[in-house]
This record gives sequence, structure tokens and C-alpha cells, in this order.
Amino acid sequence: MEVRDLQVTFHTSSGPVNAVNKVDFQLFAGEILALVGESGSGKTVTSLALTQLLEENNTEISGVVTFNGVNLLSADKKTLREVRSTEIAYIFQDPTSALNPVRTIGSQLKELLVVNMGLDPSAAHARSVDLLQRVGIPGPEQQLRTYPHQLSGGMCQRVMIAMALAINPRALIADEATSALDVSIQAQILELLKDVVDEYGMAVILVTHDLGVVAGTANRVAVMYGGEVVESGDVADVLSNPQHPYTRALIASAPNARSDVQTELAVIPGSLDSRREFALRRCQFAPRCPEVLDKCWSHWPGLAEVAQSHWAACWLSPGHTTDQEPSNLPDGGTGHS
Amino acid sequence: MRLADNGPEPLLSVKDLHVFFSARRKNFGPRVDLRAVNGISLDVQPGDVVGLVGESGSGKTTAARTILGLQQPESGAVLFNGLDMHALDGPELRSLRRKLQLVPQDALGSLNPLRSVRQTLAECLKVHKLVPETLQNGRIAELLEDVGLTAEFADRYPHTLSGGQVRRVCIARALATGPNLIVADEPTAGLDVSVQAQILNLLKELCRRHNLSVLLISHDLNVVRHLCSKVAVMYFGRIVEVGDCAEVFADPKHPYTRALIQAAPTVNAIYPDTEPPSPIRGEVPSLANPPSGCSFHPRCDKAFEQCSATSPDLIRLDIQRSVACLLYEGDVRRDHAGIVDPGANQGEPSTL
Repeated sequence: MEVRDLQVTFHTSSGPVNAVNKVDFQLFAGEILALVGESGSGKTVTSLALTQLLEENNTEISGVVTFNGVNLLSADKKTLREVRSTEIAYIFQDPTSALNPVRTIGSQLKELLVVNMGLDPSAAHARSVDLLQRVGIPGPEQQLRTYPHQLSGGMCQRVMIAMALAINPRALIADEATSALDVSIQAQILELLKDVVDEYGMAVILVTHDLGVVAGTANRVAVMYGGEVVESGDVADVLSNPQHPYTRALIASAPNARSDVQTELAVIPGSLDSRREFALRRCQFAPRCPEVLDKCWSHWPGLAEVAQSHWAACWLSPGHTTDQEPSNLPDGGTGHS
Repeated sequence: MRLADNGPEPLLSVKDLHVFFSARRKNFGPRVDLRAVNGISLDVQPGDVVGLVGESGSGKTTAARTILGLQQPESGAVLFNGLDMHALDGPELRSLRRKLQLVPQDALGSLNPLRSVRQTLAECLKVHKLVPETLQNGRIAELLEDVGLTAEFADRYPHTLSGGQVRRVCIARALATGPNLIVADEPTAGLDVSVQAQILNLLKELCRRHNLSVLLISHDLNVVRHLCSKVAVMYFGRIVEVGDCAEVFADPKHPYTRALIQAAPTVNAIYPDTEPPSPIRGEVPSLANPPSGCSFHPRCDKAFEQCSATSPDLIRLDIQRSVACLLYEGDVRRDHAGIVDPGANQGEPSTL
């Protein structure tokens, strides 16, 4: 999957809001790409826009999402339906509300297999048992007859993963799939996710706010702020050698097992500006950035390669020169496609 | 089962607290007791920040509600400044409650949406008759500044505040009565890390400035490690390990504590010398169907035969640390003493 120049604008009663701006990334089979950022950074909107799952009436999406050679953003309804039902699966944050409360796990899973995969009911039953076993649900035969409210959050999330695997997708989008779970269950679900990626060779987009989850699970990471990707690259590179001040601040503000308990946690001053002014083409992080330059207020730096497979959108990073006359070309995102 | 009670008289002393809920397993079936809190003891010294950690369903919030007097215990006592919380009523209870405040988990839900921040804070001051009405606005401004907000926030309504600001208002409300102890139930749940950092720094600062004690309830081990001086790990209604925070994190004794620390995701996972996480298998058992013996044994990778038969008591390993695990029982029996020489439990405990 390749995403270029993704832009999402919501037309609200108080004017247009740019939720996502100039997002570029690539996703390869067998890898886990994490989209990380705080609430309001546009990570969920990005993940939903990929298959046009956003409300149509007031949303404007532009850019190109190439999946298997098809541009999903210009695809017709039939193709989209096809892609959503057999190629790209979603797992959402709250598994208990994603499942139908008045139908058993089994009937929901079997419906999917019969309708999308064209299995006959008895084959669907056998496959359902297989799938539940695969995701580590004990006693799958009995569990098929249970209702979602009888299962714990972790078990429901396993069922969601089973449903996602049922269509044998090429890409899986997990939006905060473990945020509502206890750490012990979260660790189990993340292990399971890594296992199925290895086994099925699918590509995963992991949308999360937790850098710890990113570090332990993902191969590559794209850090989002204010609707833009501010830094991307291999997880180990980005987290051990962050180039964007926002990434650095995000890492420093999370308490972790190596941080000094005596010191105060680093704090990012200010808050995310929800009324974004992309027309100004400035760095969205400028108002909160400790190292802000004059230039940051007038020109968006664009993503540039700072090291091999590591991009950052900051005038201070090695890929940018602070004295260079900035290009105000529409393709601000240089070097990263 | 007394815990470390060295030093001065504890501010809060929880003694063998049991809280049961009664429920029917099926319609018209017999009532059964669900043992949400099953015998916990805990001391909080003045100025201590004690963390209470555990997974959902471990009883931490029920324990906190009982400590605050919002829930009647089945047995056991909560002594605050030496007074039994659950034996008092009327004006005595009210004056006790002034010294013991809650920062609730659902901060926004705990504020009346139709009342401005000023009205919310003023009610606290009025109910407890803390300041004369003429000085009320000044006190409110002072409280808001104390938590890092400005006096202008007094006329805002909860829905206009951000998540971090709502938490600050709740902390201001808790501070309004001049408490000695604040029970903070997941004070940073649902916040972004950068906002979480602000709230944690604020709590730390307030403890220092007002000489507050805090009982911090959290499932986030990194938060507890950062803020607390002492930590108690709860599992299935019992405390399984308690001790000095830095020591527990550096050298967890109970298999559950160890597993919980390893399961917590951390940015350090990118460094090759970090131990890979090893998920705990299974889930917290149902209260309606408790396991025999040690409640952790079905999920424990160190469990042996006796674990399914005997429920371990909390035993003292050294002056700071207590743990409820049969692996350490041998240490104590051999020494025939309540307090073991810390040298006696060095090495791999399972070989003892």
C-alpha cells in the first residue's frame, strides 16, 4: 500500500477543518507500521480515510492511496466493498461495542465467512473453530455459542482479531486495539498480533498513542502531529535518535523504567491547536516547540531524509539547511514518497 | 498480619479489610459472597505516596472506596489518624472526611455539567464551612492557581475544559478542604502522555508543598514507579506484595509483580539488553468462581503442587518488603521468626 499526499478536510458549521495534511507513507507486506501521536493528531482519521470509511457528506479527501495497483480514493463503491470485505480488515479500540450484542460470536463469525468468503455453513463452522483456536480462545466450540457480554475485553478483542483473520486480509488496520486492556492482556494481544503477521505475512497499521507499544511491536513508525507526519523511519532509529523536537518531547514526557524518578517529567508547553491553518504552511509544532526558529512560522519544512530510512520534518534536522531559501512549492514533502 | 509499622504513627492504617458484595449467580439462585477485597492491610505514613496497582478486577477501586467510607466493609477497620472511619457518623465523620479527599477516575463525570468551576468549588467550601462567604472567591482563585490554572477558569463550565484541565479542577476540589490524604483513582487514565506528565508533576509538587500523603491507584506501573515511595500490588482482592517502590521495581519477589512489570510496554524495548516481555497467560479469574489455594496459581509459571491447596499469607521478607507467595514461605519457617535476615532469601527462591 502506498499513500501519497493524503489530505482530509471536514466542513463544519464553523468552517473547514484540516484534519490530515500531506500524509505520505508506504506499507509493505509482513511489516507493522505504527502511526503514533496524541489525540487530535489525525492518526485515526488517516486510518479511516484509507478505505473511505469517513462520513461522506461533509468530508473532502484528496490524495492517492494505492493498494494493489488500485487507487482506493477514486475507486467505485463496488471495488471499495470488495477491498473492505476481503483485503483490508479493521480492529477497533472498543471490541465490546464493535460486536453485535444480540448475536452470538459464532453467528457473527460464520456470517462473515459465508457472505465474504463464500463458504457453506458447515465449512464456516469448522473454520470458525479453527480461527478461535488460532487466536487463543479456550474451548472454541462452546465459545461460539456465547454472546459478547459474556466475554472479557481481552477475549472480545481476540474475537475481533479472529474476524479480521477470517477474510485472510492483506492489510490489517488496528486502531488503538489494546488501549482499553490491562497490561497483561495487552501484552498477550500484541504477541498474538506479531505471531499472525509472521504467519500470514500481512501488513499491519498499528494506530496507537503509546510509544511503549510501538517500541515493542512495530517495525516502522510514523509520528503524527497536527495532522502531519513529522517524523518517520525504523522504530529503533526514531526512538533512539529522534530528530524532531516533538518526537523528543513525546519520549521524554512518558515515565519509563529508565527515567530518573527524582526529576520532573518533561512537559510540552501549550496544547494542540485544533484550528489548523495549513494555508500558512508553517510547522504545526512551532507554537509549542522549544527550539523554534523564525523560519518555522512561515515555512513548512517537509519531510527530508536525515539518515537511511529515517525522515523528519524539522528545519533543525540534518536533511534541512536552515539558511537555504525555502521552497514554497506545493510539494512540501520532499524526498519521501 | 501487620505490615511495616516502623516509624511514626501512620496517617492511615487499613487493618485486615474485607469487602464482600452479595450476588445471585442465577435468577432466584442462592446469594453468594463475591470477595472483592479479601483481607488487605496497609499503612500510609504522613508524606508517603503509596501506589496501589493491579489489573482491572483486582479490587483496588473497591479498596479505595472503602477507605474513603463510601463502602461498608464486611470486616476489618480503616483507621485515619487513629479514628475508625466506619464507626463514626455525623459531625465527627464530616470533619474526618475533610482530611481525606478523592480525585475520582472519571474526572469529567464527577463534575456537575450545569455548574461552573466556581460553583463546584464553592460548594465544598460552604458544606464544610471553611471560609466566610466574602473570602470565598479569593480562596477559589488561590486553589485554581495552586493547581496551575488561572482565576479566570472559575467561570468556565466543565465541557469547555480539556482533559488535563478537568483533572486539575478535580485536584483543586480535593485540596479545597485542606486534606492530609488524597486518594487519586487513576488520575491520568485517558490522558495523552504530555498532559499526563503535567498532572504527575503537579501531584508531586503538591505533595511537597502541602505535605500531602497520596494513595495512588493505577494500573500503569510506569506512573507508579515515577510518583510513589511505596507500592502495594493487588491481585484478586489481596495484596500480594508490598514494599519500597524502587526496590520492588528493581527486584520484584512475587511472580505476579514480576510478570506485571515485564508485561508493561516501554520505549526501552528497542534496546537489545531489555528483557523481552513475557505475557502472563490467562485472565483474572471470576469472583463468582475463585480458584483454590493461591488465587494466582492458575496463571503462575512458578506454581507448584501446594499452590493449588494453600492460600499464602503476606509474610515479611525484610523490614520493607512483604510478599504473599509460598515460594518464600520456607525462608520464614526455617528462621522461626517474623523477620528474616535479608541475606537468607538471596538466590533463586524456587530452589529453597
